[in-house]
Amino acid sequence: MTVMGRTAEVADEALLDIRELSIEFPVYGGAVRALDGVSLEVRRGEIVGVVGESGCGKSVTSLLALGLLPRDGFRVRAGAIGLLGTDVLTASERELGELRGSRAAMIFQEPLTALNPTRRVGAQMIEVIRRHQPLGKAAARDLAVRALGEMRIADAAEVMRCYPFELSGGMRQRVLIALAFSGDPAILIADEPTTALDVTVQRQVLTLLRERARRSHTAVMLITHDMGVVSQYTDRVYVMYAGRVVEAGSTRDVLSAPAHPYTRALLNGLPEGAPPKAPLRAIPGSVPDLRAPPAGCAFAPRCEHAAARCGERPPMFTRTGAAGHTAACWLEHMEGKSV
Amino acid sequence: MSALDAVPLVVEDLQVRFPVGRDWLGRPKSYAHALNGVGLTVRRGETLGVVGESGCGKSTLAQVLTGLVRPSAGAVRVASGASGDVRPVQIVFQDPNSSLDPRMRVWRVITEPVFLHRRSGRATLRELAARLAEQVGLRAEHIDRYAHEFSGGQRQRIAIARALASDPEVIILDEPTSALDVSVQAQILNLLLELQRSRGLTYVFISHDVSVIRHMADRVAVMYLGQIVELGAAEEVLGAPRHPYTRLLLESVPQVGEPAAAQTPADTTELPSNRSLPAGCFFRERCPRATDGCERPQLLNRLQDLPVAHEVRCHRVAGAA
Repeated sequence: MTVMGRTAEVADEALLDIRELSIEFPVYGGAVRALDGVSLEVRRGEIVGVVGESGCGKSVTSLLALGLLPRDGFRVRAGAIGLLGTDVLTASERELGELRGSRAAMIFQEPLTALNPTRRVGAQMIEVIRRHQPLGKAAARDLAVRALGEMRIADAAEVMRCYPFELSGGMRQRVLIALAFSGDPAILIADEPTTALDVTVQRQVLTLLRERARRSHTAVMLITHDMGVVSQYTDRVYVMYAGRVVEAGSTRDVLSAPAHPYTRALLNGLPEGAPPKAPLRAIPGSVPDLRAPPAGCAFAPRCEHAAARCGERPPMFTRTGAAGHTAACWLEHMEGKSV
Repeated sequence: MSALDAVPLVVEDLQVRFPVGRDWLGRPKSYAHALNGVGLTVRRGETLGVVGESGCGKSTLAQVLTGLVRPSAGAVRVASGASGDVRPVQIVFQDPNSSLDPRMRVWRVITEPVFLHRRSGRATLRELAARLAEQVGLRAEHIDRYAHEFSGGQRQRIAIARALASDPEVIILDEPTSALDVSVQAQILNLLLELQRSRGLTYVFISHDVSVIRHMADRVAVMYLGQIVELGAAEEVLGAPRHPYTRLLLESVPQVGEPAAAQTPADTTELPSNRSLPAGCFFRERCPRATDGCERPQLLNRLQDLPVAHEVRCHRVAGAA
């Protein structure tokens, strides 16, 4: 196994450690710079949010973290991904196969496409459990029932006899969360797990997910576009824009004292904060074309505070007020608080 | 017709049911009950917000109001517009990628609602399209492009321009910003408010997003399983909700800045099936306050103590007569 030289002390280190990752997708007439110097860590037992608008690279990051993108579909320009001590970008498909579904699990946005429509839920759960654990059919079934019970599915036996289409969206997502936790993972990556669900169901699913993760000290990387979800369910947060991390820190610091103009603009654009019918503070313009990413800060063309310098070189990460709270913005940098 | 001048849209006891499965004679085996007695009025110049979760019938309501679905019972009465010959109700759909014809140039898309009725020349239509494009923040010289050349937010602007083309009495906005990112959503909401102010438009704004409804609406109707459970002024319904379902809905919305509530979630969050409607109150099985009397069908009762009409479909709400 290609180890990043610290398997033994993995417990205290980051379970997921993405370092300066830049990748691009070759397209007709060039390449899309999907990620540009993304650094991101998820440590044991913490719930980390990754928030940003569509096209910012949050889903690509989550898929790459588990090595789920076909290798010939993208080019790595720089950087590395360490997942539980395995170097994901160079590991063999077999090594990754052992990791996925057992020590590292994933939940997707649309639970109906994640389940096989032609087989009963129970059969699928038992198959997944037995693939990673040396259990007999009966023992695997018991484990599945227990896992469903933890997700507050009372009539587990009944649910296991159903086909996926017979269950509601919230129920399907709870089945998948139960399945994800059945292998006792150290880290769970959830890519917009509740975007397809209603708010009342979303609250239930996310609360169950958080409770379950806290009980077993499982780390969770929660990808979302919803600042409300970030605020209520995460410990730390990374804000992404145009393939770059622009701000990172504890959720409370980032949301109460956002340092990057993009984070501020995102929060200001929400209708929650504004008086009814008052004009919202919209961000002018649109996301840059990543086939030709801007030379400087990616947000500079839309930023109301942009100075000449912002257009020239990408800003470095700068520490702001609180510990662990950093932002990639020249304006912060010019105040002389370089990391 | 004079009564309809101040109230361009009246909906009375609307019922819609869709056949589910048919036997060998083609007779429906059962029905999905999408709307179960919806009644409301929309006043000129106001925004009526309609909020609810998936399956509550809000999109069916939009389709009935625009004439895309024929109601099984009940009536929709619309004031005929100044132009008379054009549909007085227009709609903006959720997903601008699928609601704009990819093979039409934008000026044709925008003038589609008046194309058949007005029989105007190409030059007149292009002029109209250019004027509308500028009003919704697009550049007039771009009207010869195709829809795919625009970003998601710009496409929604095209859809809004199309809805404006026939000078409709009422514009139905069916989740107009749900497919858009937050920053673009703010732009579109601003545009809608600005257009309403400058042109005196009447909106029916349908959304699952409570905070968007709170921002846009004058009055709010909360829907559950094809019925309106609460209807009143926006600040009353969303500020001091009376119906247990409205309360549950508002509690569930994740708020920025609020600490994460550590409470255990309610066990039953399943919407009852709309194939066979529950007897009595539709919300009874999920309701924390269910008691005797909830097994009877609930009526929309007008609250007596409020200046603006406020109706709640719950016999336990005090002050309801």
